[in-house]
Amino acid sequence: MPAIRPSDPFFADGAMTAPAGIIPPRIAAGCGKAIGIVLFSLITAIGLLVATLTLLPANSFAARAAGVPSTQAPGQSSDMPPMGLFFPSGPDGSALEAPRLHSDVRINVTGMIARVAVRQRFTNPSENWQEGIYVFPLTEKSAVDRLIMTVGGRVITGKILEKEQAKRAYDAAAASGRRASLLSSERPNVFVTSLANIGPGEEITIDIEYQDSAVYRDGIFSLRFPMVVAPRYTPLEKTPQEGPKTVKSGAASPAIQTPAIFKPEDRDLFGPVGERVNPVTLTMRLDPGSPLGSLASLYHPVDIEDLDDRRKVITLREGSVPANKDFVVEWRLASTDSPQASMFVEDYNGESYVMMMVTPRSQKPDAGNLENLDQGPAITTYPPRDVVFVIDTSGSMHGASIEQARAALSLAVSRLQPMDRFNVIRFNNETFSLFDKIVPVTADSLRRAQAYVNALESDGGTEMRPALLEALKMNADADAIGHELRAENRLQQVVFLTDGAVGNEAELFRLIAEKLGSTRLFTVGIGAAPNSYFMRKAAEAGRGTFTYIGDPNEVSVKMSALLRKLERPALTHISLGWPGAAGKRIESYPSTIPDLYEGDPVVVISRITGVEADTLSGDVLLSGRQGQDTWQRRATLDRPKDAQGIAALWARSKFGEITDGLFLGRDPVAVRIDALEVALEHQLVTSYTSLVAIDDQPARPKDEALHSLEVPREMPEGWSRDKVFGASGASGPELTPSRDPASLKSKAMPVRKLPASIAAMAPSAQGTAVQLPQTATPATLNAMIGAVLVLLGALVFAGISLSRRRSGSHA
Amino acid sequence: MPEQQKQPGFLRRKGAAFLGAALLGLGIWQVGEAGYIHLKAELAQVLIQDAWADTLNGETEVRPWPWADTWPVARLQIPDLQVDLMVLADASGRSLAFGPGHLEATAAPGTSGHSILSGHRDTHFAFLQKVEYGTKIRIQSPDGLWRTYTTTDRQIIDSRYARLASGNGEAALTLVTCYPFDSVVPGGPLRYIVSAFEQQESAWLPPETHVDIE
Repeated sequence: MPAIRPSDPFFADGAMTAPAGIIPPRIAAGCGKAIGIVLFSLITAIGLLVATLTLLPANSFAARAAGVPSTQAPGQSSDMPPMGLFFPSGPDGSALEAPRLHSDVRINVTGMIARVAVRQRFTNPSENWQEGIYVFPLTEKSAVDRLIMTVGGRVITGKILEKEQAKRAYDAAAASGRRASLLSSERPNVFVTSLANIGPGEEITIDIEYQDSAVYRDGIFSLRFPMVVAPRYTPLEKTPQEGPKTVKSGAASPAIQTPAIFKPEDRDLFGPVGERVNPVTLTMRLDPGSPLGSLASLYHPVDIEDLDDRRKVITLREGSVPANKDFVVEWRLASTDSPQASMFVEDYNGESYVMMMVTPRSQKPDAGNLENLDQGPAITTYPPRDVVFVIDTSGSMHGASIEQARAALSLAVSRLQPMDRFNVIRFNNETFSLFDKIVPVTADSLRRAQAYVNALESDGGTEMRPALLEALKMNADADAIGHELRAENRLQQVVFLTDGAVGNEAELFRLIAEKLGSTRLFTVGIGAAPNSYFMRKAAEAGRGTFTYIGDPNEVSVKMSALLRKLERPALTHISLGWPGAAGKRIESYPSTIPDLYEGDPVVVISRITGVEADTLSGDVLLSGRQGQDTWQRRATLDRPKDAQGIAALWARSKFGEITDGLFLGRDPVAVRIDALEVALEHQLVTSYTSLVAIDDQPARPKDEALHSLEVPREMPEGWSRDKVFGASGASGPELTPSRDPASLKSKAMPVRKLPASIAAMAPSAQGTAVQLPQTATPATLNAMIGAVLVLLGALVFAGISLSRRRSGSHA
Repeated sequence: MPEQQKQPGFLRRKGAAFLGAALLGLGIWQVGEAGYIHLKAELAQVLIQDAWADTLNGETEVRPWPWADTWPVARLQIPDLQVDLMVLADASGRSLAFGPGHLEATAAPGTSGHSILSGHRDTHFAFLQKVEYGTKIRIQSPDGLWRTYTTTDRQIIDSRYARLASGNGEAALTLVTCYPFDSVVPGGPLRYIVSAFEQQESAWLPPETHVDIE
């Protein structure tokens, strides 16, 4: 039927004839068998068309479509619970908590970095097909980068894709009803993914992996794993001294309205009270890099096995585990008087990633020593310093800010020692300095400085560049001043107090990078809303540290901590000497090795291109300066190569430096290309990439899909049934079918309210079910039946005429 | 004697003639039905085309024939495949006989949302099996504006678990039809899906890169 297509430029060239697919060859085939009949039928059809356009309310196929079984996805809910797998199909929009069959946690700690792998198994005890939402709390800086979900033989794996691509893949998959979830780095605190189409009685296995990092404070490393059933809002910050007090405060978070039924205290870990059916195994392999001083699990009974003097395996002891307690392990390195260096190696894609960690001298376990903030550096083993203080007196500092700055500066000046030299620069839109060059500390100069500082008032604009330049120049020129110690043997420092209200950040970063020399830049953020980003990055570029003072009451504490760092740098001028064999292409991050200050370990990661970790040998020579002495350590590369996560950390550092390029004026497109390359190669979830989890299998064959709907799956028989994961030897003990399977059949799943924020993070759970109409006509069927009937009819008539002819001839 | 012999033969032939006529009649009816389905599909498009022209002139809900209970909401063209179709306002079985239908729960076609169009696999949307990655699809909305979408994905899904992604505000188009294409018997849960997004060039990805989510 060549349709007339008026006034359409697109078709105006007349090149178009009747679309091939619209009058299909089937009709011709059907008609060809009985040409006249078809012509007749078409004429009839035309007549019928007009007459019966309204009389076809439900075509036969539509009626048939109504009979197609349709499983509506379970109802949605806007509220859901905290950790585990939840079916948002509970009454009144609440969620049902899937029973946890087993949880296996493996933590590999290498130095400070921890690679955590969690495998959890759940079951769907109901008789319905369910949609599940999996929620897992994460610490601030970690991101899940591996994800595998297994349901009834389906394997759904996470892939890291460029963000835009990931979104499209997700949208397409979600619209089409396949299981998909999207994870981007914008939501660092909780991992949420959804999983649809969980059959009755099916087991679900979810594997996630993420990178975490131990917290180092006052000589103690601590690592936390969020095993709690309690809401994830549990403050993750806690100091070991006050542990038990803070850990349980999570349930009271005001952000979430926890219904009365949900009392974490009433529940045992991973299961209701009285029902010890949910075993959890946890294995932590700890390689701190240096011999351990002490090691303890704070809240859980553990068994510790020694592999050698530093490597330990920590296993959670079997039995009941206290609820609402995170698993926390703390360790301390053996006490030393000088910085400790350790080396770790990981092989990733045939290349070696070497991590060097330098920890500062262990603190003497003398609490008074730490807390006594007013204690001056009485011991004069610290090197003399050249310090230039720069203070921002622009209008934006007006009020409390300038007072804080004055107090901070006054404190800093009062801590100067007789061997030190100093100067004070203030700036608004102009730059003034107290002295025209760096001057030695004398009673007179100190008095003048204090008077100068106390008289500072804020006014005018902010021209930071000249002040910064002046300060760096003063340090560079300091060598010219006659003194018994050459400048290079002194610590050269610039302390910069500002609220950071500047617009030309990139220019300032460049200036710092170019003019830094041997000077170290320490930024101090003042006021309620300082430009922390600028100051942190400036300190990084200046190889110093950033201190933030948000409150007048903090001035003394924060400045004292900073001044301790200024006075006693643990290690400066750190460099690495590689053995010849490894001296191939080495790419290290951070590309400038920062100084080691009290309280902050330094971590440098290098990639040795084209060398496998197994072939590495020899020692790396670490050298630096500790005060006026030279510090050297050899660290061997022949260590066990079971470290994990080093490559990922290296990639993260590299990614960070690449994206810092944005602030140094690099072309955003070029930065993006470079950053994406790193992120995709190392499978990082970053600002440019997302983890999208999509069913790896194509849609099921037609028959199987029908089958699985009509025949409810049997209940899990026990652990041995799990062919996919159960066989792994490492998780042996829990595989024994010791539990009563009958308990699984209970449909009494705990009912939870999930916070709306979590529900919103499981995007595919939000999608609305779509009824896709039946879209096939019975035309083919009709034509075939018709053709057969016509053929039969023709045969009959042929038979008649044949028999008539035969009988005629017979007569 | 011949009289006696002739009589039963005549009766037999007469009965056979009835049977043959019945078979022929039924066959004609069936073939006519098949032809009618395709005829209707094609003829209706012509009528709807006029209604669409009126719609472009500012009228709303223009019914292509007086007793119709649907109206065109968009025009779909695929230059590469020489497809030109009027999209109807709903995707009920009755409307689908006359043209592809727009799933009412989804965004209006040609707007910046995710819209789903459904059509018969053996009439209007038979062309879907020829759509390939990168095929351009144009949609004209009632205001006369055209939007071009680029095909990014094709897949087969089970309609019982179909969910509509909330989307990210991007203009997206999904064309749905039944699968398999050459199945004789209508029905079954499988659908063939073509996903397309409004053309957006990506600076850092080569255009031939597509997401393989099989």
